[in-house]
Amino acid sequence: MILPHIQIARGHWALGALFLVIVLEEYLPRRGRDGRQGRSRSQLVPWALMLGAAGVWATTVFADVVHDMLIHTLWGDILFAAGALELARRRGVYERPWLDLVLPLAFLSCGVLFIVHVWIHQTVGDSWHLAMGGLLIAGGVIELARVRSGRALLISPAVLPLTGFALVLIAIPVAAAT
Amino acid sequence: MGVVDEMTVQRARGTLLQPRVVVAALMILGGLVWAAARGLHFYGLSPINVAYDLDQPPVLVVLVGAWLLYRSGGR
Repeated sequence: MILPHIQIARGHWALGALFLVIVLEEYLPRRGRDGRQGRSRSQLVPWALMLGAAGVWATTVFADVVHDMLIHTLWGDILFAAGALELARRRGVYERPWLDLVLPLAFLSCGVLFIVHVWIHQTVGDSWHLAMGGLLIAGGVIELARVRSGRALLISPAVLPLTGFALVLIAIPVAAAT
Repeated sequence: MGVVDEMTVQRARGTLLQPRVVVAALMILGGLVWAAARGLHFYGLSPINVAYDLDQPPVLVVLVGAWLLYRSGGR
């Protein structure tokens, strides 16, 4: 099954908007009832991660290139696993110190998969894939370093590359979305 | 009365300087400028066409900005 290019681009735009929601909800502080600002830790983030995973997995059905199918399946797996672990933590049913590393590692590994995607299958959209992979890796590494250092910043610097990744995904032109 | 006005102004200023409000305002403004520069395509008003109408990059940025503004309130 082959989708028209505009349909592929629409899928990327919608996923970009969803990722933007995830990043902004997770990393931009929200004012509490006491007037203080802090992380929201809402359950919206894990659900959005799992919704994104379902969207990425859809590519496995619609794609006609085996590399695209493989890489998108792995992206879906990572996003679903991260969403499930975060949901368990935010519901209070599973709490471990290493869960702090789930989101940074998910971003980092998804970024690495972008680079692998370019490595194993060159397309006209390679410059976009490299840019997006680089931004995800930067966001993951920055957030990993922040978590490991134990510093509680009001706004994580990782929000910049991660927001950049989402905006690039939204702005991806139709011709490069194949 | 003057004290109340000053408190109201300070509260309003505090609300406007929240990171979420600032980012949301930038996104809505950026999306509107992007829409004006790029142009939007109108597909129609049937359910699937409304989805196409909304799934355009500048519209998505404005929608996420509006959602962020809504989510900037107290927890």
